[in-house]
Amino acid sequence: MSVIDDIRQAIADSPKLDAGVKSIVSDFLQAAGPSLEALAPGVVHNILNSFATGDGAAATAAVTEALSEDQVATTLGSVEQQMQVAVAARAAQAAAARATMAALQNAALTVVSRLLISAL
Amino acid sequence: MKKVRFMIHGAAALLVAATLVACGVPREAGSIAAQHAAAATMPADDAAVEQRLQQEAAAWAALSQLLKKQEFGGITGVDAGFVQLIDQTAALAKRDGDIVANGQDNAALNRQSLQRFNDLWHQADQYLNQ
Repeated sequence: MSVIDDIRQAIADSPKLDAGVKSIVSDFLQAAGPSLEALAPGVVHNILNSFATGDGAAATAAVTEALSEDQVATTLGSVEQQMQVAVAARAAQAAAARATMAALQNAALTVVSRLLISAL
Repeated sequence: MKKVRFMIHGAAALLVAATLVACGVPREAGSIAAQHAAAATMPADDAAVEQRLQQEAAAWAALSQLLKKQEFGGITGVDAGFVQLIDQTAALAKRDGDIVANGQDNAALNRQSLQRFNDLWHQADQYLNQ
């Protein structure tokens, strides 16, 4: 197995990273690409340990140390695409929450109106 | 007596639930993202671009640290995936800053990276302040 395969397996096996984070970290590693093959064995060991304990930030920082400026720019593009997805998902979530609140307010108003009418 | 105990437990449960719902990442995270989004421009001068790139690492690291905290009245619903993306951006900003500091940089790539960071500030601002 290659270094990238080992790291991918460590992410998949990590019990402390949720599915969303696993997907984001995998995409990040894919964008970082072949430079990971050049990592020193000690660095790879630390990265594998970090993913095993769910410390994605430490592992990400270690991976990034191996990138050239060209790869940094490419990986930033990948992060940006995922960020656009996150922003869109949050906007949809906020819209759904607003719709639920409006529906609850309408329901409450209906109940109050009926109570008032029946009291008259 | 039973009724009173039930009411006290109910009130305590509601209080705990309300506190949990009202906790989120510090509002300062939203302010930092908004400030950087507003200041996200592309300097004409290459030296100014290099200087900006070297400042990005500290700014993203500060945002990353804030997203690990929780406070009453904070920004709710910030998910782990978003925090991971900010951690990745902070790590990439640090690497870019180091490359510039070591003189291994390229003016065209510097501009490309700074544009990405500017775009990411706008997106972080939208995410945290919508």
